Amino acid sequence: MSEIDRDRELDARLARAPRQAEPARDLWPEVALAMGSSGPARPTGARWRVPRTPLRIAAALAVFASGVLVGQRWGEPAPPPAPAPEGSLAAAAEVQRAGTEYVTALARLGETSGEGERDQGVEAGLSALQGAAYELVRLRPDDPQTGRILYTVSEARVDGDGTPPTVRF
Amino acid sequence: MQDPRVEFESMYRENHRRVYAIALRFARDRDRAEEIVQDAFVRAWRALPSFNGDSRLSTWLHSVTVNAALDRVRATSRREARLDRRVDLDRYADEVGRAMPGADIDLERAIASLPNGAREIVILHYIEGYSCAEIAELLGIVDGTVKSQLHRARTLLKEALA
Repeated sequence: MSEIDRDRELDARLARAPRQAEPARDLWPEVALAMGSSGPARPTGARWRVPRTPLRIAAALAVFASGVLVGQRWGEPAPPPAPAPEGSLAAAAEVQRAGTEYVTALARLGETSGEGERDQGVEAGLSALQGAAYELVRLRPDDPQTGRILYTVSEARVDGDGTPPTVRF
Repeated sequence: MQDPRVEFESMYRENHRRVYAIALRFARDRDRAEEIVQDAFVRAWRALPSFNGDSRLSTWLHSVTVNAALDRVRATSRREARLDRRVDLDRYADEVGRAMPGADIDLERAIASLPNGAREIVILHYIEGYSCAEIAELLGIVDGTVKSQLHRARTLLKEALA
């Protein structure tokens, strides 16, 4: 076969390559969730594309799992430890409270001026989140969502280039 | 007036196979391709107000997808280089066979085996129909580099398929 023939054959094969592929599952529910509840005009400046509720849960668990209170490092002293809650509702409320504190501390971190300090803080935050993710996996080892959260947080730590991770919940 | 999310879902249903095909070829991995699809549609949703109607919506979405795929490939390439992770071409070929019935698996494997830069250019030029000038602009390289990469890629593809 001449070189011209080989070129023609390659071009023909490339031209026949399918332009469509069927995903193995319906991805729309995850896309819709990642889009959030707001309309398309939503501001685009958000640093993290992680849905807030899972973030808060992960963040709150980070407080319990790793014992890292970002608020101690950046600003207010940590509140005295709350008495252990009883019942699942009380526990959920406690998780929510800790999560809110954590998110507030992270927001404060965003206001700090020193880049080195911010990077250090982001690393500390990611470390705490990773601890929370491990805790989630321990609590619900068969739940694929917890695995994804752990993977994403671990990926973000390995990445370290400021690329926001995409999370599938 | 229809709910924009409902309209957007229609757009997703019409275009997701095309988007997944691009994502799969760039990522060479099903999980990552799915992440690219999600990323592309979320980007499109957020950027919808900036769509000015100069081009077809599907064309605009295509360019959003390509950018999302390129961003993801660059990020994962850096990470894979650090972790010495390799793409599993057998798994990729299986996914191509499943997702694209009738696909030329040998050709797809040969494309997937190309070096990173050359692979992206081959996909963009021969499969997605971008011109060399468009690719140069998209990748931030000169036109001549695109042409030389294409030439090199063709040689490698012909050798692989011989």
